[in-house]
Amino acid sequence: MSTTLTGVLVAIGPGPGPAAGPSLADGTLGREVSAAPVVGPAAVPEGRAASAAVPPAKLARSLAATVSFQPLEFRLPSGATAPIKDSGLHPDGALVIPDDPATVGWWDGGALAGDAYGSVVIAGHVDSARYGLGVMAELKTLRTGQVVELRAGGRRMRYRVTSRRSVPQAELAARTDAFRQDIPPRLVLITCGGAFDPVRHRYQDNLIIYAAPVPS
Amino acid sequence: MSSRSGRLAIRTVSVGLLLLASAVGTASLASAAPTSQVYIVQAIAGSTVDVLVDSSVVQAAVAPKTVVGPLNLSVGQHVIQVRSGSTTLVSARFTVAGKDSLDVVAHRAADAPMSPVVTVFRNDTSSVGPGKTRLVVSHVAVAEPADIRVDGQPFFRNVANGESLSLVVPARAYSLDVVATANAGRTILAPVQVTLEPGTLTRIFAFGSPAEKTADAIVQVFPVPVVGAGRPTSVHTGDGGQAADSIVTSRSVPWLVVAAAIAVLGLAGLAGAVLGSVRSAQTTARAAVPPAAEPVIAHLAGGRSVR
Repeated sequence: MSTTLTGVLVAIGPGPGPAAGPSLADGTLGREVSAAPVVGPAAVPEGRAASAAVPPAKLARSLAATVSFQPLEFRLPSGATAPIKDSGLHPDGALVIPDDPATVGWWDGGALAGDAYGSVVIAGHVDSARYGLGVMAELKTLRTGQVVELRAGGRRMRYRVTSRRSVPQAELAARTDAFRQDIPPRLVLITCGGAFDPVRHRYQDNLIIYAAPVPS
Repeated sequence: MSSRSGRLAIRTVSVGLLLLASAVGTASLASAAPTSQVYIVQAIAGSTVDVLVDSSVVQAAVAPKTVVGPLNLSVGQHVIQVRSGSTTLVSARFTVAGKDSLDVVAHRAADAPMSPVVTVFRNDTSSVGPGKTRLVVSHVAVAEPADIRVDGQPFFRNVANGESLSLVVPARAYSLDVVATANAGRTILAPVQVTLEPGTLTRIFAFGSPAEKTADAIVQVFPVPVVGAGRPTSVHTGDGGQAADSIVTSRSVPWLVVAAAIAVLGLAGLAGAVLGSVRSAQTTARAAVPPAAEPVIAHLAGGRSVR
């Protein structure tokens, strides 16, 4: 992806009172200035007398730049942990799930841990014909109020289980809001549950656990 | 993009992006060495100024709420000078480290003389997820520390002059306002409606002086890469069956249907009874699956024994 950047200025006037009053229509429009590049002459050498008299510009402090993180490890109430891999989609639109059920996947189109909005979606196999029971089998016994944790290096984010839901797999995408992003932040854990069809090697249902961030 | 909103200002964002993108594309092709993208943001309310970088006039007569740039500045130190007529309002050194994107903002401090100052903000042009925007709100107003509110909710408290709030949010319309953290929450910037486009860094500077009724907002939009998968259509998370509540048989595979039927009846070779049981055997409690359903049991045991 090109790093070429463009800047655009739009001026928006202060709105009239409460949020109900969109102010864009009557705001003055900002002026766009030609993008003609100024090729910087030589940089002013460090320590030159002329520049020493000029004070350095203040560096702005960004307050939330480091709060969000991509979760790399997952911890369940039993103390069991699982590495988290970045998960995209198969060509048919199904979420890629790590084969080894000791590892879980983070849907990389969803929210980061610590984001101000949206579902952080973690999914993993409840079991596997090849490897046996998965770490997500514990979701079947998770209770409301229990705490799970997402980690990455020294960063961690805790979530308290608020509810659980079981839906037919075919209805997960269309009939639930599991992947929704325009909502307050939350963690959504997905695995399989319900009856198993040994011929299709597939469960009938998805088990969904919803959890809310615990203020740190 | 513009079809999403009939609002004049939003249309201007889209058109402006196209125009500037072509201009900048040409400029960046010409320069082989990594260069910075430096924008000068004129946030000194009430003054029209000349902007100089390294003693050269970059732009004369720059009105408030104007962004000048991008300037392709070399790595190293540079000096910005902001002049009103022959008076230098402020000058400051800033450093370009590499392929930076910087906003060099001339604004007023929150002190009594409202001293002009220069604050450098780094533009975080890293990727965002699909359908999202990085929203950065900066307080450069002549005002005390403030709460920045999004849709009426204080997302960040006690943000001082020269500080920013950075959030990745779903791209949609928001109402944004800035109120004093103390002083009974007096309004610093009255609510403004802003529609955020996906795949952008959108910067909003609250500047000017609420006391002098010059408080206003500057909006600056940068395209950023979008990284991340679309919305899944399904999630298949188990093929062993060890964790199953129960076993279902698949109608489409005759041998299994037959096996289940045999199990239920405990008899073999009664064709009529087999057919009759197919419908009722759709879901069989796992505990009730008798040994006769050999294929199912063998499969489950095989999976379970691995770990």
